[in-house]
Amino acid sequence: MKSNIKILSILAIIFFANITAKAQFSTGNTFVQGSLNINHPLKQDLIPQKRYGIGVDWGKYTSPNVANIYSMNVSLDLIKVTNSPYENNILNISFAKGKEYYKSIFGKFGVYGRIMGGVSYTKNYTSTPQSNGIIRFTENVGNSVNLNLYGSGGFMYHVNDRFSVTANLLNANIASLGYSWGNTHQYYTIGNGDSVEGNFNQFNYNFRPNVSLSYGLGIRYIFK
Amino acid sequence: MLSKKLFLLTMMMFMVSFLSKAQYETGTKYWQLEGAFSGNVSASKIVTPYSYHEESSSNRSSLSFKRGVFTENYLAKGWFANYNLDASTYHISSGQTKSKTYYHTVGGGYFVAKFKPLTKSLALFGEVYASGSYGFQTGSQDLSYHSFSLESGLNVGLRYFVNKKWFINGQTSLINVGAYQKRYGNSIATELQLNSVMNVNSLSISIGKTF
Repeated sequence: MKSNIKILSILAIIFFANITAKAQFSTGNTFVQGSLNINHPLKQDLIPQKRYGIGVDWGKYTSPNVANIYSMNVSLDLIKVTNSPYENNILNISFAKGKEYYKSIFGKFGVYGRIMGGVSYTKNYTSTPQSNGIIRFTENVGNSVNLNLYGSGGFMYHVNDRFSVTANLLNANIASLGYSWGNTHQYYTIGNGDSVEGNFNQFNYNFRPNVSLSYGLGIRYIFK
Repeated sequence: MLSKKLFLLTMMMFMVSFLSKAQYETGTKYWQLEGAFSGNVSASKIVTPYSYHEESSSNRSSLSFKRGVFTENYLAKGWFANYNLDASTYHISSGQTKSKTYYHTVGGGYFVAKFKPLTKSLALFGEVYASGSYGFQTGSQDLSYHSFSLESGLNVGLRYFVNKKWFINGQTSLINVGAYQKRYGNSIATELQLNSVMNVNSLSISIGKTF
C-alpha cells in the first residue's frame, strides 16, 4: 500500500513536470487583474461604516518572465456615528507603475515578485466630539500626497491559457515621501458659535525596508 | 524512463546543495549593513481668533554594521555595531519656546549564526547574540539622561543571494532577554525584560556581501 502511494506521488510529480511548457507567459501577452469592494450596511448600526473600493492592475509581458505593470486603486470609506458629530470620511486614489518577475517552479506553479513605485492622494474629513466641556467638537480636513516604493510577492497558478490565480504572501515596504496639509476648526460650547481656526502642514519621509506577511488571492485574465 | 527522471531529480538536488555550499563554507567572510531613516517636519498655525504657530520636527536614524566569518561550513561567528539617533526640535511662537533634543545610542555585540540552505540562492538561518549598549542625551535641555543595556537573544531569518557575492537578509527577533537601566539625573529606573514572538509577521531587511 505504502509503495503504491509512493509510486503515485512520483507519477504525480512527473505529470506536473511534463506540463511545464504550457505554463509560461508569452512576450506581448497583456492581462488584467482587479478587485472590487462594496460594503454597504442594509441595517443601520450604531457606527455604520460604508466602504467602496476598486483596484485594477494592467500588465504586459516584455519577456516570458517579466511584465510591466500599471496599478490603479480608488477607495472611499464613510463612517458616521448615529446621534453624534463623530464622522470620518476617507478618499484614497493611487496610481503605481512597476515590474513583475515570474519564475516557474514546476508544472503550472510559479513564484512572482513585484517592485512598484507610485503616487497616492488621500483626503480625510474628521469630526470628533470633545468631552472637556469648553470645546464641543473638532473638525479636521486633511489632504496628503505620498510617493511610495514598495513590493509584493507570492505564488501563481496557471488554470489555463486565459486565467491564472495569484496568491499574495509578502508585502515589502521600502521607502516613502509624503506631504500633507489641511485645516482645523474647534467649536466652543460657549459664546455664539465661536470657533478657533487653524491650519497645518507636514512633510514626512520613511526609509525602513521590511517585509511583512500579507495574504490575498487574485484572479488574472490573460488576453490572447 | 522512471529511473531516468529520478536520476535527473537527484542530480538537480545535488547541484542545488553543491552550488549553495560555496557561500557558506569555512573561511568565507561577509559584511552586512542595515539602515533605517524616518521623520517628519510639521508646522501648524492658529489664524483666528488670535495668531499663534508652532513648528516641530522628529527624525530617527539607525545604522547597524555586522561582520562575520564562517568558522565551519554553514556556521558563522562575528561581531556587530550599531548607532541610533532620535532627534526632535520644537518651537512655539507664544513665549518663544525653543527646544532641541538628541538621544544617541551606541551598541555592539557578538553573534553565532547557523545556516540551512533551502535552494540554490535561499537559506534559512538562526542567530544567537549577546550585546550591550550605552545611550546619552544632548541638546538645548540638559536632562542628564544615560541608558545602559545588556541583552541576549535569538534571531531567525532568510538570506537570499542576488548573485554569487551580494545578498539580501531578512530577519526578526524570536526571543530576547535583557537588563535595561535609565538614569534621569538622580532618578534611576532598572528593568528586566523577556520578549518572545510567537507569530512572525515582519522581517527587517539588510544588504551584505561575501568575500
